[in-house]
Amino acid sequence: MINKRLIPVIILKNGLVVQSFNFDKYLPIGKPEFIVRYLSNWESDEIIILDIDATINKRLINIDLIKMLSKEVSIPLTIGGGVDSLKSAEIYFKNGADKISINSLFLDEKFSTINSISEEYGSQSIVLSLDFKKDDNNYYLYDYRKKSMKNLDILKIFEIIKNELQIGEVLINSIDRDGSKKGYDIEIYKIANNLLSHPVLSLGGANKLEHFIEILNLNNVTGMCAGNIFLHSEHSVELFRSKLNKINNVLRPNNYFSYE
Amino acid sequence: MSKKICIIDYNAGNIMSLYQSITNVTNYQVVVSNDIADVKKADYIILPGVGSYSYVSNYLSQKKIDVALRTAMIDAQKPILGICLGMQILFETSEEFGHSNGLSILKGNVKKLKTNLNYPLPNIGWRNVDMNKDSQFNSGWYYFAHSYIVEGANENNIIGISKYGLDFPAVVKHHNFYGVQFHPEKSSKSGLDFLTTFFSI
Repeated sequence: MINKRLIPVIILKNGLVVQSFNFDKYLPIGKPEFIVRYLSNWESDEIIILDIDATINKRLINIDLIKMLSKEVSIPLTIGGGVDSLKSAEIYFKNGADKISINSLFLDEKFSTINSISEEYGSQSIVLSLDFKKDDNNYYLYDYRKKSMKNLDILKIFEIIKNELQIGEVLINSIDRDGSKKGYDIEIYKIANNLLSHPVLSLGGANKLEHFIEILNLNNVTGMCAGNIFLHSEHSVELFRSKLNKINNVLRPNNYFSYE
Repeated sequence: MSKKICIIDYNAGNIMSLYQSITNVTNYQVVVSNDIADVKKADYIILPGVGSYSYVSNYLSQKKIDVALRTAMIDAQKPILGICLGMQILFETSEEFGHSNGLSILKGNVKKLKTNLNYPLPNIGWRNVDMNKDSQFNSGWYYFAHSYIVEGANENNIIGISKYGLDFPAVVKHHNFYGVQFHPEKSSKSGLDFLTTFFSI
């Protein structure tokens, strides 16, 4: 089995880290610098930071923050929010992003812009982040800016990814499960596992050990992401790593901690 | 006098974390530069893993850094570390975006990872690296992000191996040239240990 990763996702709104519920309600938690520091100390495999009002307010993410965070952590940092061109991607990479997360460029079908970033920085530096909503037993792309579904179902989207895009990973976020504590929507990841040849990252609903175990056997889902559970419970990432490795050595081993 | 480290700046991508990691593990003076004078003065040279193969290859010859690197191989014993693409560039050719020529300092070619469907590409994540017994580096878990690997390298040049569907060279060495397919600057404690060892050579 391919080694999996545990990846905390930090959502920023108005410069603060927030807890998200169904893309609808947000509760502020605290300052990103502290949260990133402890998530790094708890041996997260990577960290993803998404600024959800950057694009809406037509601005970039706070560059000083990215600079500072990249100085503090020696694990990969993915930055998302506000990437609308090769130029803005360049600013993120130059200031400390190892990967960028792209969402609006896909919603606006600017595929050639996405590919131009890939040609300059390599496909491994692009995480395509897609939000899905379930309707009538199918999954549709959701546009968080307009708070509406797009008339693009999951099969059509995966065709586009396969035929038109040069990207590294695909982050699939289930809106119905966001903040729900009900676990990942396994159905959608089964489809992704069968149809995509990229590493897939799962996000939305993971809250306890069983939720991570449920998704382990989906081969292409190599990154298990979570927001709330990783951010709120002490030593969260490290504790899950320890427990998951006891079942099956699916993650890199603990370096500093030992939970017996 | 304090030793000098030069990180070669290709003007592409994120080298801030590399700079930061190096300043965290050494007291040496670190410069980020594409100036041939800085490259020549340095006691250690780092080729970072950002950009694309043909771009970096052309950039190095444009700035005549390729010549300086070859001279460093013959004249001096200064340690040179290529990271990811910075390692691949030391080899002869690459098939990334068509065909490009590398620096041909090491024998071998850069080819797309040919794994079966059970291994999604790129290979992104933490993989175990087995170092040769007589290597000064520690086996352990390092962070990889790549779709291409080195094939046809001289067996004597391979000092560390990793696996993603198939075995591939993770660490190479030829005289004073070292190359790593992973990113030590992104590999947390094991990566910092690797850099510490390198800067003690």
